[in-house]
Amino acid sequence: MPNPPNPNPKGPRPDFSDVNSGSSSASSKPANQPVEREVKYTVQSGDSLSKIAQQQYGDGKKWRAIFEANRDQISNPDLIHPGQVLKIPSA
Amino acid sequence: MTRNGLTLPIAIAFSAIAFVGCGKKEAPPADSAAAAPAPAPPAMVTTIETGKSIGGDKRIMDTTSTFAPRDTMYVAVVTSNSSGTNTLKTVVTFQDGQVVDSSSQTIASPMTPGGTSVTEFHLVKPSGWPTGDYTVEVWLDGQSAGTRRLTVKR
Repeated sequence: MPNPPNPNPKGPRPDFSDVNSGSSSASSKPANQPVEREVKYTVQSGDSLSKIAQQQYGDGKKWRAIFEANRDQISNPDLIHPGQVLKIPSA
Repeated sequence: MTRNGLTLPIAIAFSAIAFVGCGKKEAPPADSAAAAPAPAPPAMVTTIETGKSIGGDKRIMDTTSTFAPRDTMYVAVVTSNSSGTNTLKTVVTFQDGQVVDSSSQTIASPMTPGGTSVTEFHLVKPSGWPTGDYTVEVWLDGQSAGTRRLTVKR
């Protein structure tokens, strides 16, 4: 059974003792051997291009890169819809 | 009297010019500093991604900040200029700051000098994540390199 929601943050704290974590690291391929990959992002309610850029790149001012990569489905950068799957170009 | 009064200032002026000229000749060669090797650029975090799955290159396949209680949370951190001794650390906290997990990983050396590396961190909670807001803070060699906010909802 999943843990119940925690509506009162000041109430009993949830138990995270069963959290398992891991990590690994690898070098990227050199520039002359590009990795074919396509990152996608599904628009959530309340999203904007600048908000997505802030999340993806850490810089909301890079929204135009996302806009340009998705000109086929975005005509107005101020108008995106929940459920839209956007291509996220490399930073 | 007049001749003596003019000769002394002129002599002092010539002496000063000669002294300044000698000072310039004794200055160290200008190229001595340029000969020192340039310091290597510091390691830096270029991208932080979050999502539910990663590819063979350890990058997030479908980036999102919204998760379901049974999802695995992945954080992929792209770095450049690492030397093989740099360390990444992630600290995940829940809502009011309760620490969920803290993990460290040495960054793999890039294939080429100045190249990039990708380090992934993943978290699972078999009993399910409590719904609410989470924060992931990424640290590079003890310096905060960025945060991402995640949400777990049904």
